[in-house]
Amino acid sequence: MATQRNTNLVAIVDDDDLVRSALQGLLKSVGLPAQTFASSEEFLKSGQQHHAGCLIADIRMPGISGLELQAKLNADRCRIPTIFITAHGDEKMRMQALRAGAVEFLAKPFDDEALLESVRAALES
Amino acid sequence: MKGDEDTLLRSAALENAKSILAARQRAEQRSEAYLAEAQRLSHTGSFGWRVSTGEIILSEETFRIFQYDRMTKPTVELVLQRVHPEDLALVQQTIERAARDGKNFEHEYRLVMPDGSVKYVHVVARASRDESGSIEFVGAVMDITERKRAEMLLGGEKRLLEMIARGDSRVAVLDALCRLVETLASGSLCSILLLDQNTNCLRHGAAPSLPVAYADAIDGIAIGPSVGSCGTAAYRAERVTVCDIAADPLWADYRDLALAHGLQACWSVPILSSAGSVLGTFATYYREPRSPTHYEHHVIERITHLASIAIEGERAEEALRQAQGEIARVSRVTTMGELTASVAHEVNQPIAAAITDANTCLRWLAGDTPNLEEARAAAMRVVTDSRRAAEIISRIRLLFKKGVPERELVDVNEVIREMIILLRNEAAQFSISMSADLAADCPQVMADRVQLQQVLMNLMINGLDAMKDLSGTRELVLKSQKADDAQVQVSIRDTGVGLPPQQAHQVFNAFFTTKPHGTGMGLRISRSIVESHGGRLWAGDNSPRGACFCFTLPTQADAQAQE
Repeated sequence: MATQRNTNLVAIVDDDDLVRSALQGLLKSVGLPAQTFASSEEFLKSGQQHHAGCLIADIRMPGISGLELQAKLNADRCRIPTIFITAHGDEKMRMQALRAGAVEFLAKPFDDEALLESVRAALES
Repeated sequence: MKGDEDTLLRSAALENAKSILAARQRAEQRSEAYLAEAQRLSHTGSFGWRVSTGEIILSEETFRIFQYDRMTKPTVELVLQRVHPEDLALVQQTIERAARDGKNFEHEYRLVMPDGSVKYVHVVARASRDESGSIEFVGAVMDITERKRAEMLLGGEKRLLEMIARGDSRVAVLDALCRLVETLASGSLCSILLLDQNTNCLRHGAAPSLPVAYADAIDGIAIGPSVGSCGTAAYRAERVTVCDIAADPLWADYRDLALAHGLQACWSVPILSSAGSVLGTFATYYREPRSPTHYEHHVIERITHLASIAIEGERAEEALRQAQGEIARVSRVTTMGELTASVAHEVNQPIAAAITDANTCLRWLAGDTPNLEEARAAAMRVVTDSRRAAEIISRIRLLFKKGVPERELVDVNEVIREMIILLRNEAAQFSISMSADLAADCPQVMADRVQLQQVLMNLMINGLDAMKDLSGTRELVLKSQKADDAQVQVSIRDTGVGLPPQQAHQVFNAFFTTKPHGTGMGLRISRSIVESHGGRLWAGDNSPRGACFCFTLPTQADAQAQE
């Protein structure tokens, strides 16, 4: 299905409210609009997976986890460039995410410059 | 006849000319009035200076800017008398060169007014020569004090936010806060005192310009209803403005001390935390009796807000540092070491957020046009993040507190909510959702809080373990309700593998376990804790799948009746 993506909008899915606000604040400081979601379910329900230019998602979340969300989006043929951030990134999980098409996999606390670089690259892809 | 007509015509022409002249004069007067008003509105005066005769003509607004009496005859010497001593040499040089070379000039300098206040002026002058060849200047004097002050306040706030975001030491930040206000409010001497919440005493924070002996003497004073400006401001949690220390009853006990050091006015503002509690005070002293201007109020308010960000952030960080050490200790000494990773994750989240927010703050401050509002918002988020981390730690510390059991009134719902937060990550790791259905009218129970937490944690971890390897719905539901016979009942339902068939009653036996690495002691210990509180613990099936563990505890009234 051909959909119109807002190439600038970044969707943030994380169950931690502080991390959500921090990410949104960081993106705002470089002029990027962001919409936040407290769970994968909320994000899927919003329909933004078809419009946002890039997705930043936590891995470990109650309900649908980050990796499950990625699998779901892939199954729906929804090609949104995805960046994972997690506090517990082991190599196995990282490989699984990258193999499933994630553009980046960053460990918390992450380097803000590295994250912004990945977001910019994702938005341009 | 002809002569009469001539006379008549001449007189008519004369009248005409007179009225034209009068009209022109009125127009000129009006135009001058407009000009004077425009000068007043724009804080820009004009002047003329004939170098050869030394004659200087000032407009009304220029008189006002320099605060000269209208009767004064202005001279170059008189102008120089007003110039700030630090700017004097440069101003003198500029004027001398202009008089010699007859070229246009432009300069900016400070004036010191008779009351000691400082003004900033910008002067532009254009040179011309009259028929005789002598030099004459016509120029404008702009009072740019307001703009300069606003620039200095913004610049100062930017530097301070940078210091806070960089994590500079508290001493350095508070010192810089005082110095900024001293620069902006000339003649002021500032001090910051910090409230020690355990003793209700004010301790030295910063006082770069106050006499050291005075700062030492007030270090450690207890707050109260009439303890100078600061002790009273901290006590009342509101601004206390004492314009004349010699006459104000609030200073009765400290008057001699202050006057001995030449301090005659002291305005104090409490530094409040985001939750509204008093963190300390910001004081502005003067060496003469004085009340604050609108501008001074504004500056002090802005700076006090920055002080609260700096102090609160530092306190939260300190709690965090202590707590991090505590976690290391706790993970060694408890049998719940398996939870350390989850706990670390819970603390790691707000720390990650704090680092990102601090970096965002620096980003807003960098560049040609720093955005202070956004930087301030990011700095406030750092405080929230740090406080969250500290809160998590203090809950954990309570959980691992050692010592003899202590019975106290406990809100069961509160304990359940705390445990959910603590185990949130453990559950999220396996995509298990946890929810609570808590009765609002649940009475308090008489219990040992730590033991109650232990029981809940045991039952919750059992539930989570039972669901880890299953697909489909994974839910842990905690419920509290008022039960019969003055009891509170708590249930923990999971959608896991369920109890072993026909063995439901055996799960409480010592060494009974279905887990590969279980000790078989968890449920046994939990049951004995509940029973020692006068309650019961039992297990049953959950519908359609999983297990349900329930326990009851006597409410306050019943527990007291038993004693």
